[in-house]
Amino acid sequence: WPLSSLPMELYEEIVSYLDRDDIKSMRLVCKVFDHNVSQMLFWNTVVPFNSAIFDLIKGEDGCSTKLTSVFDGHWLGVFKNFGKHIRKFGMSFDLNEDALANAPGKSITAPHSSFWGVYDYPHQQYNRYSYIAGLEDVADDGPLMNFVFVSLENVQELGLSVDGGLGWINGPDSSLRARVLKRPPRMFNHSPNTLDRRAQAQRELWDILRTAYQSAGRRESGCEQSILYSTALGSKPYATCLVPVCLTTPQKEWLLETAWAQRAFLLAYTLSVIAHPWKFELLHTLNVSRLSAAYLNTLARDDFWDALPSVRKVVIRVIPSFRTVYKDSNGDAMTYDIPPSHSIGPFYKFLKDTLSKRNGIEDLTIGWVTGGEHAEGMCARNKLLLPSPIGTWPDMPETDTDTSSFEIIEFPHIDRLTLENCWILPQTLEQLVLRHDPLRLKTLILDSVSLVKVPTQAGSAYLSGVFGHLRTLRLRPTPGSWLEVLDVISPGVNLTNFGSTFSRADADRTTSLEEISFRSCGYSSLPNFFGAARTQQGDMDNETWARFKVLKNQMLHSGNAMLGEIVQTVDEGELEALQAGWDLRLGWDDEEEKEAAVCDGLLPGGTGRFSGTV
Amino acid sequence: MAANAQPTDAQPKITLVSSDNQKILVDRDIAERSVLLKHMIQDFGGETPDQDIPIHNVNEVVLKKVIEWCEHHRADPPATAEDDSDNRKKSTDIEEWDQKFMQVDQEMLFEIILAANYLDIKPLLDVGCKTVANMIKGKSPDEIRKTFNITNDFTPEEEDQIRRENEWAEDR
Repeated sequence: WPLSSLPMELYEEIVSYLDRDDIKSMRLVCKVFDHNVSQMLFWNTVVPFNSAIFDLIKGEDGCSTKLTSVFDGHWLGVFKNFGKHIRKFGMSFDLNEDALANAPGKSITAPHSSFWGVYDYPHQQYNRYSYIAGLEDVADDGPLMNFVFVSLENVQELGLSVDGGLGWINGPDSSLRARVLKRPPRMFNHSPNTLDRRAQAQRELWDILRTAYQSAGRRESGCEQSILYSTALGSKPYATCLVPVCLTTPQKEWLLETAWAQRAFLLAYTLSVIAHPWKFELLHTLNVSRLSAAYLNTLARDDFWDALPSVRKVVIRVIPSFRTVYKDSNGDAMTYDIPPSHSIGPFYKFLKDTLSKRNGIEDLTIGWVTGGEHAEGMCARNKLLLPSPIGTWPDMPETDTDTSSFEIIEFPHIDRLTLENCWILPQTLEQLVLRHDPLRLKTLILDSVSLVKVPTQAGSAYLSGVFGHLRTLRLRPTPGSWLEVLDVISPGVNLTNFGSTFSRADADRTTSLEEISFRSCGYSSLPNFFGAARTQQGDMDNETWARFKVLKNQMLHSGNAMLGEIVQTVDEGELEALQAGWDLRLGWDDEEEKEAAVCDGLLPGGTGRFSGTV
Repeated sequence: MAANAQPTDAQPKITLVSSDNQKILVDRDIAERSVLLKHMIQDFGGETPDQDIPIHNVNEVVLKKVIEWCEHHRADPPATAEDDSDNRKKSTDIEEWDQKFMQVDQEMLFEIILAANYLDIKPLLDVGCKTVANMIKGKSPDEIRKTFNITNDFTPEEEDQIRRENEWAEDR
């Protein structure tokens, strides 16, 4: 190896074909390697705010988190040496379901010594988990956070992920596939070039399991497989330590104290950003990949956004709260359930009052984390869908056609708007597009957006079969269907172009909109709102159904009227018409992802969904 | 590929001079696989230059090897304009001919990479780097040292330091 003559850019070229584990190995080979490849390891850095940090600090001086030792600590050394290489910097402080499940009990009493001996007496004050208290101390440590931000000289993208565990909790509801392939949630939206070694091992294990069962002559049905797998592994899938609907006292205290620590962390984070206005000249993206709805207010301050003047792109994905936790007058941690729809208002307000006014932001992505097509677990996948927070919703979606009563946020400065994982009313979507016609919006991306299907408007007159779709395009579209909405919002062709006399498109429309992209869009229903019978066995086979019934009772209450459920069975005729008229593709390309839905007892992922650009 | 290449007789020739002063005659289109040479030729006003072009950094053996690669790939479509490095597919698959071509000793391999870098022949550079990456992939530090005959110059403390730095950095 020509150690002396190989320039750094060739090291980078070579390393670009390798995964992070290989880079780590290379750093350990010799000093020249370390010098030449280390910076690449830190280009994208996500610091999990958890035991890793804590242990490092703890390792320095034994137990406490003294400031002096922290500054000598190696954690900061990394920032000192590599801070300038960091291009994407994320911090995550997520409540780990495993940690919550195994929240240790606390002693109720503490030993007291007096002149006659030692006795046990209840704690004078609320007794805290030292682990979480330690995290909170680190978070509270203003200089520490400041130091981190000062060292980030060339950061281009900031990431943030704070999950307080107050949203939907999967608990025992996960297919074996999900357990085997478990990954931490993504922060930056890029796919790594190669799987790291852990991911490769997970993938191999799953492939072996699957082949083993298929060769054992089991039926191909994936849902059956997932149950067999669960039982075959000897685990008791329905008897885990974490029952989402009734948490134990230690678990509630864990939630409560995590919430304290997270608030301290967020405050330190925002204050550090505010303390360094204009510091981040190269920063163009703020990526809040997961944020509990309860913490939205910490970002809803103008001085925070004022300190980030160069940010062009903002991503905000919110975790709706299903419960809240507080300390009652006895000093006990208590939780009570709140409807997830209560998270919509704060999100809407945040977008309207804070983000829509920032004139630097050109690219905005908003969506919900919980539920939808990509959620894991049979009680969450395709369910728990909330409405897009771009507007307030009318009380009666099926009757209200008076669009003037809608409140829809206008984004006067935004070029590119992405809505993710939500449902939307046909009228709302039409209004959103039409109101942005005279504004700057050029690209609208609907990522996993479902149009609400209103039961009263059933009745499919669409024709299927050869040339059926061409005739369908000339028929009167079903009210509230994608066909009808697309006709109005499409910046390109509309139904008139196919010789339909039923087009509602405005022939004189002028719009700055150039394209609308669909990524897996389809329909959803509001089963609780319309009182449609839910929890039907439907297509599930008996075993899956049995599993679903058991799980159902352990889950958080999901009967909120605003929660939508994705409809996988969609009129073939309409899909064909969409395909023919606007060249939209059906289904998903990713076989792996399709399989994941089957393991949750559903039809393959992407059934009844379409993608493409008009 | 090579089979579709134009007849070589009709091609104007260019004389390259290696660092050890050996003259090598190549077809112009082959020389133009190198972006460096292409630009040099353009600087001659597009005319095929009749004087020798010195290649200071590459010796005869390596230069011949590089030309061999260019001859085989003479009819490849030109690389698409600057793919974004993030989007470029980072597969380590190498086509069969290139694999055979790269079966050389390590010294030669790195000479080829350096020459491809100097002459600015991106596809050849990619193949070379992929070959090296495949030699590193999945190996422990010790195995990498053995593969490339590198001695470990870290103290145990330094090694420990790096290990701990490696631990907490995540990317997701």
